[in-house]
Amino acid sequence: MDQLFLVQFLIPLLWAIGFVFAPSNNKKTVKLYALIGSIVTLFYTAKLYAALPNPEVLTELFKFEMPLFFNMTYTFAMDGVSGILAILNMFLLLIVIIATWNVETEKLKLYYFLIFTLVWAVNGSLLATNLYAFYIFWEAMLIPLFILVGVFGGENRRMASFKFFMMTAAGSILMLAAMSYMSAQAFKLNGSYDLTYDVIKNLNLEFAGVWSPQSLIFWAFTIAFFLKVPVFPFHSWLPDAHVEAPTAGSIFLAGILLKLGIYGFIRFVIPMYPEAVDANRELIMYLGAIGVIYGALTAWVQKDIKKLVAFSSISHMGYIVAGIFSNNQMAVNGAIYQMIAHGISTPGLFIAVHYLYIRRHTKKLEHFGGIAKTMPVFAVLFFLITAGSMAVPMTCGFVGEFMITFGLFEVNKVVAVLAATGIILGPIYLLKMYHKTALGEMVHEENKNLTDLTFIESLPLIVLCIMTIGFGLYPKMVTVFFESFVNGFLSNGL
Amino acid sequence: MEQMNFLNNVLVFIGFISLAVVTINWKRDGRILGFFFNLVASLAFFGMLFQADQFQLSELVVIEGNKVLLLKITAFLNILMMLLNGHENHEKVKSAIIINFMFLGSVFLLGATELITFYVALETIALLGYALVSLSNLEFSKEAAVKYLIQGAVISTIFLLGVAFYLGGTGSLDLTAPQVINHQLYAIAVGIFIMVTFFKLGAFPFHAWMADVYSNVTSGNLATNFFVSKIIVGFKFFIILQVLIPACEPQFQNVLIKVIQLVAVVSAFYGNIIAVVQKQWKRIIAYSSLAHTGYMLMAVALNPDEAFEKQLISFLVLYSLTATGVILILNQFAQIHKGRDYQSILISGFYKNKVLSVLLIIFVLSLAGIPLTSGFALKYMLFTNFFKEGFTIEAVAILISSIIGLSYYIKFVADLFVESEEKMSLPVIRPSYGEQLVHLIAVVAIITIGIVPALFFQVN
Repeated sequence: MDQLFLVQFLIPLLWAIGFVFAPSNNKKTVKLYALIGSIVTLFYTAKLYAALPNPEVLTELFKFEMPLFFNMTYTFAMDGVSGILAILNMFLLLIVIIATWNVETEKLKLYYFLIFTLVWAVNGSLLATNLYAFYIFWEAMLIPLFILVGVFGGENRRMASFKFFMMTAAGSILMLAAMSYMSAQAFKLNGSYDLTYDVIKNLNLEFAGVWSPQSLIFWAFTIAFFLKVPVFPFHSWLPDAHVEAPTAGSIFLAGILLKLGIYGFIRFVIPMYPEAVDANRELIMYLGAIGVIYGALTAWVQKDIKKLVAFSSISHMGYIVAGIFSNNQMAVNGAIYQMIAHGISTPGLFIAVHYLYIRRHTKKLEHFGGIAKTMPVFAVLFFLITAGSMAVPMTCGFVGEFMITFGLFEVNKVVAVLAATGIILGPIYLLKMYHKTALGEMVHEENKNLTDLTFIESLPLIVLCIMTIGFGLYPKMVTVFFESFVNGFLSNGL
Repeated sequence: MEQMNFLNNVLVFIGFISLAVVTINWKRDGRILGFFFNLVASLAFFGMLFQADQFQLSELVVIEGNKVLLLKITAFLNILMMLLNGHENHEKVKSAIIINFMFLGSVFLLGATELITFYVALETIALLGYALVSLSNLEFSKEAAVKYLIQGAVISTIFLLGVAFYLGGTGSLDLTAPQVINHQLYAIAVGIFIMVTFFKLGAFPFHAWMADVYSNVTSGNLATNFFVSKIIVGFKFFIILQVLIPACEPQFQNVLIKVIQLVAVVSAFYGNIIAVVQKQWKRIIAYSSLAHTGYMLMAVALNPDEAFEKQLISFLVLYSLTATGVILILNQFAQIHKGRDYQSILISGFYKNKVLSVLLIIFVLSLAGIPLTSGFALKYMLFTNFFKEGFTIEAVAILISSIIGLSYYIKFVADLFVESEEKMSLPVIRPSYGEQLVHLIAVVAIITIGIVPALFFQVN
């Protein structure tokens, strides 16, 4: 297991370093090298998951001890939840490389270097079970994404990348403060500063109201994760980042990076601070529900397709937050399922927007209309992906949202009703988006000459559509990864 | 423990430097000979440090324990400074000779066991420091040197006053185990020493000299100022205050600790806030240095063990090395912009000077405390110690101030990737061998400690 992990863990990083030495003049070779890298990483991640003896429990993959530095360790482990997210991460890498195959840039090596570094950091934070290691990878994600948005983004990329960096880094500093405090407490308790999963669980920080250590630590982590998800009212960086980011940045942001905030709750917050979680459960569920409505209503009035999809992400993530904190088996299962569903449908939407943009060099809804006539293949695939996002029955989006809403009804009917509003609002803004782009009269001359998707272009959308429908028809394909984990999570953690 | 009376070695060191002073004025090849003798002096001294675990010059100068470790590190850095200055012209060789004398002063300072030796060593370093700033020959070097000299002279006088109070409070000048006979006088003396510490480290409100010095000194000279003032002077004050403060009466002790904590927090906030509005990169680094001084000062208020002293040494050395790396690269970028430190000098830097830009990014991220760099490991170590000692509010306040710091650090990274056709026509930067060596050592140390801090720290 050790060796398999090291291979899986190091390949993205080594592949990224490889781009530094790749020939600049042969773009096709560089692209091919990236494609092979993504396939290899996906293969080894799946192989690592398959090698797990029992996905229900965390299986230690690797441990590196540093007795001279605070007795700290780098500990990595995997279970069903981190396993499926790690696979999603690598899968998105492959999808990004295929979807942006035709992107022309002089800085192709830098582009792929940043993507592979980002994927490596995400993978590290998903598998790290020592808080020190988790934090290192969590922060390491910021820089490649900052440069990716700042260099390859749109017109206002500088502002967007600054906003994204500053807000998420501010959250990270809060997490660092909490972590340093816990490290000091661990030392008093065990004579070691190490913050492994078991050590944190046994810290038993006192909870006696808002200003007690457990409550403060809980909020430090929670705000850091809220900023990442992002949860209303910590969301303001996301629309700008999505709009200005290149397609790869948007796909990774929506597909996996936002989920890391939720993963942080599952892995570190909910099991570690039970009293603080109980005391704030309702508040957070309400914030999630407000996010659902806020995101949906704001998406409704958007004129930029990418911004619309960005706000839809806030709405969907609100669902997940409410579900995760519900302490209900159905809702928690639904929330984890929805993480995967959203990780499929929203990247699909961003890829579709990318294809529209490279043809028309605009993302404004008003500049489209009737393109189903000139781009029929695109229109069909775009519709299926949109259906998945708006939670049409028999698509993956429906399963997640239904499970969450159903579970929430058992816990808090007001939150459930508020969240369910999103199920109604979702189709309104997503159908508006689809209608204004693909259907209706073709009023703009430029749209009459649009070419339909090539085979390579349609490939990632086809795969995502198959997954959207396949997971919707047979949700067990996804839930099998984490069902047993949720049972343990509810009995131990909540 | 093997002990060594290192008078002979100090004399050899002084002998070689004197040879350098004599030969530098020879018409033919004097500059090269001066450089050579100066370098030999540094190398000989560095080699001598591996012959024993303790060094002593009568009872006035005793270097043992972690001080030996620090001395080895700074002796190595001193050699680097020689190479960094090189032998391009007379001014640089002269600066290198002054740097060696400064190093000698810092050796005496580090080992000083009573106040007169301490004062003389401190003044030697200070006077040579003013000369070094003045020798830099940049546009406002002389002005910066004069400002530095005047403020330094005032502080020096105040320090002497402190020595007098100390003598009145203890009846002796011994720094190792003060026997207090008058607590009021003693507390005033310690208060004055703390104030001098604030000045020497450039803490708020004694920071006025820093920004001018940073922006008007050549790389090698500034780096030396960093090493001597931040590392050796900072560490020595840390050590003596650890002895002097606990000997105060509890009520004075509490006040003094509170003052240090307050100045630490204010320095961190002030430095980070003022850095945001600076228009020159080197001034940004100067004010960020003020913020870092805040972190260091918090360490003075701690109750450290030997392990923490090692961590502090690591922090001081790594911080100085990183800041030096940044200043070096900024100077290199400034050189291709006619020596001016405009805010736009970094624009398009990545596309034209990839290696230097990547190095600058690594250095800046380390200053910002981003993981996988030594800056993060060191900050984590410091803050965990603050929490362990119960300084929760102060630690959180300083951490919050560092959020402000991120906003200007990330500007460095952003500018390097901005595309500008005009900037693409500028020449490629070619660092000297000395500069390349400093960059290499700094980046290896930053990344290695960042990823595997265990290799360098000794805890418990």
